[in-house]
Amino acid sequence: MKRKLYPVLRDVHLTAGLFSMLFVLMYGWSSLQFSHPAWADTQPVTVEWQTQLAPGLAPRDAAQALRMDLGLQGDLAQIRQQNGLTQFRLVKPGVVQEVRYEPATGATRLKTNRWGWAGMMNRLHTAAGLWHEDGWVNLYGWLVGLVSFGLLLLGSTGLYLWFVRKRERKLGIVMLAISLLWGLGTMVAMRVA
Amino acid sequence: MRTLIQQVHIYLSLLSFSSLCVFGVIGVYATMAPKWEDRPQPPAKRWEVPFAAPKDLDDEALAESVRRQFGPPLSSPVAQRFLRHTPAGRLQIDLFHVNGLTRIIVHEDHLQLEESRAGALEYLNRIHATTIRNPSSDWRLRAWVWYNELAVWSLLGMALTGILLWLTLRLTHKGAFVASILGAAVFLLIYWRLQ
Repeated sequence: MKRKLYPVLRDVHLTAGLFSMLFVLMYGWSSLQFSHPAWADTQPVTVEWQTQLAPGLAPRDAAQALRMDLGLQGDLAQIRQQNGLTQFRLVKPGVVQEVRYEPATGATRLKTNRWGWAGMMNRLHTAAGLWHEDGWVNLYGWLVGLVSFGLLLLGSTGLYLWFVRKRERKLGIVMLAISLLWGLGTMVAMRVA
Repeated sequence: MRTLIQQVHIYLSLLSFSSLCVFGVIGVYATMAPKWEDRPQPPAKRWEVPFAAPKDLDDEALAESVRRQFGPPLSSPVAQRFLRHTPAGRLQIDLFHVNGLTRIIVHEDHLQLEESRAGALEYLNRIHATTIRNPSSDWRLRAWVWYNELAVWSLLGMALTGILLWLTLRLTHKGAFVASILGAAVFLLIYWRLQ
């Protein structure tokens, strides 16, 4: 049984790992950027500009007009209406449009925040979910789920692949014990605090 | 050399096994969860304790004194800019921590406390994002953030050693080759579309 199982699980481990490799590298590098913000410039480049929409639009209609007429993309978020002014954002991982729309005249001022490579890594790290208005962000959400499941698959297959290797078993048990005591132990200690 | 790379790959993964399980679980959770505003909020527990607010402390000092005496052990000091006042002008201290939110409102002769405890999955989500950038005097939190830092470096080390092992040992494996091309192509396409 072991002879048949090992090559199968090794192939599953290899395939899952290679499919996920760029995603895992993205998560790893962006995690370091979160912990050490001085290591990379993750600030967006901001450009302000203006356009004209039809007057009297509701926020959702104004957002849709920007999408259809100007090709802007993203989820509609943070709608605020105050003092005759409508403000909202169109959000996608790489670009956030901050919109100030005057319903009385249709005058629209926009601030486009666009992230470079380093910032994009951080934004992809925090993007998830299947509830977005943008189909591409939802597709990314599915991939995040797939890669996350892949990580669990990598862990479980990896555990088996390690254990059947006699040479690495002893030191491996020590490493695993450190992980459980230090990692799992502090998780439990914090939860019951 | 190949054996060494293999051993590094194995030992790094075992050392960070606990965190890697957390990363995988909360990735699946983040995928399936509704947007934040639509998530059911945990019920809050409310109670009061007697407290005489010293008159000679400013808001930040008072908040820190209250936090040390009555706040959850895993909370951090609240900066001045995050302190609020209720419509009645009472100091409101919001203590965000890995187990949820504790809100304390300072009255003249008592404190009004309200605690909302995060569910298990949200707790895992919070701790995965708690890094060495978040200073804390609590030993549990300090031990965790350093373990988390080790896990992140291990994840990168595992990925890189894994790629090396593939290139040196299993490059002729067709399925693996297809998976690598497919995964890379999908990632680059998504990157391009979301930028």
